[in-house]
Amino acid sequence: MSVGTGTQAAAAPMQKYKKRSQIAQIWGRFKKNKMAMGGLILFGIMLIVAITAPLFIDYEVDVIQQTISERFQSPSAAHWFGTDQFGRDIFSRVFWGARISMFVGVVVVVISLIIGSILGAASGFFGGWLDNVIMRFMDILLAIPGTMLAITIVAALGGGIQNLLLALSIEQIPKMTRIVRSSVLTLKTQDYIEAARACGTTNARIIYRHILPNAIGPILVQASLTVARTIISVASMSFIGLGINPPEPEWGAMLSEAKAQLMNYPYLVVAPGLAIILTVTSLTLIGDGLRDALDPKMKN
Amino acid sequence: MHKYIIKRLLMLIPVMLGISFILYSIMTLTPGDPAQLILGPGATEEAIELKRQELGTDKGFWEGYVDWLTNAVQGDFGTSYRSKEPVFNEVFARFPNTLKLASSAIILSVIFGIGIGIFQAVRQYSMSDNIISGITLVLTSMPDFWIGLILIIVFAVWLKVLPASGANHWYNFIMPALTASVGYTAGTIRLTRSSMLEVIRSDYIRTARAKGAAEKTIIFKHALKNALLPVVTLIGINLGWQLGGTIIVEQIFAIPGIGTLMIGAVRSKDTPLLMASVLFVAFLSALINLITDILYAYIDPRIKAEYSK
Amino acid sequence: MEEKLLEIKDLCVEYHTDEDNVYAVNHVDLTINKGETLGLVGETGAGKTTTALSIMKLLPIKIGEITSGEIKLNGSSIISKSEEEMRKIRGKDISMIFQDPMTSLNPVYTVGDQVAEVIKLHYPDYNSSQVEARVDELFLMVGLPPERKTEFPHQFSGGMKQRIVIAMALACEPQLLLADEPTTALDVTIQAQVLQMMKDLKEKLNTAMILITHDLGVVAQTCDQVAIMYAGEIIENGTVEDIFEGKDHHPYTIGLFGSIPDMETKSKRLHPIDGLMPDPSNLPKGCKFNPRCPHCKDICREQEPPVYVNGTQTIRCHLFK
Repeated sequence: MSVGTGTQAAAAPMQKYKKRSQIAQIWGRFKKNKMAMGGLILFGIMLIVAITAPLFIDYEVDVIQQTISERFQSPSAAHWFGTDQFGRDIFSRVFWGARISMFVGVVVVVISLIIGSILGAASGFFGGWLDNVIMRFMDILLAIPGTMLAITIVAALGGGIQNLLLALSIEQIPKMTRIVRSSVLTLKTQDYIEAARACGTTNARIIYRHILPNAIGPILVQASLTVARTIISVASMSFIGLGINPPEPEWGAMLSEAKAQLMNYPYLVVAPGLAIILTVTSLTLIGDGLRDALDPKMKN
Repeated sequence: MHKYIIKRLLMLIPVMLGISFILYSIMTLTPGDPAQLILGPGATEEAIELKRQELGTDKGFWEGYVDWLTNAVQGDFGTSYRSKEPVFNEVFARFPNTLKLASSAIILSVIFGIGIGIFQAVRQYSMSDNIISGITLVLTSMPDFWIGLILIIVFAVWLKVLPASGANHWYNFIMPALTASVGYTAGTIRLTRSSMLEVIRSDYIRTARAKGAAEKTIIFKHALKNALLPVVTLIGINLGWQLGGTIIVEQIFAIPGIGTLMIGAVRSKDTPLLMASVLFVAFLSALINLITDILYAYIDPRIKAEYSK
Repeated sequence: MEEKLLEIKDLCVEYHTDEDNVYAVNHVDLTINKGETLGLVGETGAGKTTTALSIMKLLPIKIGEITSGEIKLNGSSIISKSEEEMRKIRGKDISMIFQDPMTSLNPVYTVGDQVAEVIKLHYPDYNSSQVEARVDELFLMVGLPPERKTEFPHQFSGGMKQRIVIAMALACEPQLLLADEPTTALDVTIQAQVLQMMKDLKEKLNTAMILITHDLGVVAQTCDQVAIMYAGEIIENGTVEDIFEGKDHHPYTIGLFGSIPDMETKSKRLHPIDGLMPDPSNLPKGCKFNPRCPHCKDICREQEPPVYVNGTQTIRCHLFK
């Protein structure tokens, strides 16, 4: 319809502008999206909480010290979310838990982003046998359904944060590789890449200077959603005892402990669950908002 | 079409080989000796050595893999280290539970996902659309095990109408299926809505309107069939994925399924059992994806033409 | 005396978007007689398609709104008709052909089904063999073998798809056909074929047509009346003779003709109109064309120009009194 063609016609010349103004435009559209901004602010708060937690909370005293005399206290002024079966303050533990979830989420994204970008860019840019080898290997990893691969790795190596990081990164790398590869494939045939090549620019420079900055959009969307998924995965694996082990206040591990008290103290599942939902919702909002901002055609 | 199916099936061979090798490597190269684990910490060195020979774990890395592969090609996937039973006996004993759980979860997600998605698309930007979008967003952000815990609290602890664990009756599966379906339902709602909205804006829907077709005809005849194309793919992927993704739900509700079997196998270093269970699920999930793609071709004549080339 | 088929009086259409209001059509008057062809000419975004969609009452829901004016078909108001009544008119009394035949057909149904649908909708008494017979007849009419009706849209070329779209539009022998750039998306050779076919069919069926185009050559070949649109207004209206041979013209019309290469007079270069069409959400005061007009006077920036009537021709410009 005429409105649609109008916006498309208006969007076309914008793409010719430089990279910085493109990011500024995406940010401009993102800012207008109330839900996305809400997500960003919420996530920002969670991140600040995670980073500054040690200023307010003493790990030894508040987070892991057991005080049997204070067990199973209902929420009160002293213990906002109550205390658990070892008398530990749930509020402090949930706060500290943000550190663990955020840390794992961010590290997994960074690892899978770096490896996925290298593999995906190389695969898409050079094509041929290299593409074949890389992508067939990724197909194999992706053909193992569900969380079976990550669980096998952690169960074989044993719990702990390092093994968890390894397992979850291996799970995310194929997805990241595919996204980077498909962006690179689309971009490779664009005129400005041809132009750069005609100017004698080296391959590495073309990838680094021209392709990756332009592929950043879908990568950012995937990254925000990956952090969200990873936070859920960490919690899920800790919940079944294959992740971060007690007494660490990981949200999933806390829920696992709460499960044993379900009959008598159901309130124990509330706080860690809400913490997960808030964090993941904020990240999903950011991801959705980014996707809309990148592709204004999809709105309306 | 036949050519395409055969090609896809042939492509599965290297994938399955790859998976088996990765699993074998993880199991063999990580610390822990199955013989030691079976005999316990008090066993003598000789007894352990004998056990190793019995299990066949005394061979080198490559020799062990080639042996497994030679037998597997002939249809013998080995016996479980622990139970001494052929591995597929155990896999088949557990699989019905996983299949029941996964398929009922997917059926729920299809019914609610597509229904609610269409409803929302037809009423875009209305109050109900916004509210459902909000709920869907929160549901996608909930870990499934947490939903499971909440369901247990409500239905097993407070109302006492459903059992919290077990797999003997159909009603044992109500809460697990709900738990497993929530994320998929939310995903299906989101995709159906956006796909439907995209189709409603397309030129051929305008053509249908220009013909004088009623709104109902436009939505259910012209738009739905097109809008469901990506949804069909999602459902296929979900079902394949779900077969390997019910592990956590199985753990919460104590359902003896493939997931539980798999975790047990890794922990006891039961390599043949682990490989058989994961390969079986991976193969099945690949098969489901293939069937989805074939189904897709029947809905979309363009794809069908593509395949027959 | 010719009979009036469609009358548009003072039509205004706005689009409401997140950011602002787009004034797509402003105070448009148009009249079409039975069996006549009107060429609606203008640049992309001038409001031609919006005018056509308003006649069908198919403006995008919640975004497009007819803010004032009247549209009458055979003397009865379309604006006041309910959605239910409009459905009986769409495809039967008024049909529309859209610009891009590649996307105008539903990819998952056979072309025969899609042509049959419009017949079934408006002739519910037809039994299936009557419907099929009519489909065959229509396929032959637009020059396609009827046995191809069981094929899907992707199996046809663009020109053939447009023939199917035309068959669909003419299936119920409408009184008015709205053709929105029906040949723009086609190859030049196919364009001529399709256009000739449309011209023949409309004469055969005595259908009136609004042909939306920016191709003045097409207008000269096919139209009786011409209306030139700019920024949502009709700035000049008249018979083909008025527009192509008349003496007085709106400066925009002159500019439009100056942008076309002429085989007969030898000019060194084309004379495109300077500047761009104004943003329809932020139209200039006075005459909408004033920022680009070579004859712009002070009054053009202040007052909207009156309509100058010269026999069958009308011009909206301050240059004429």
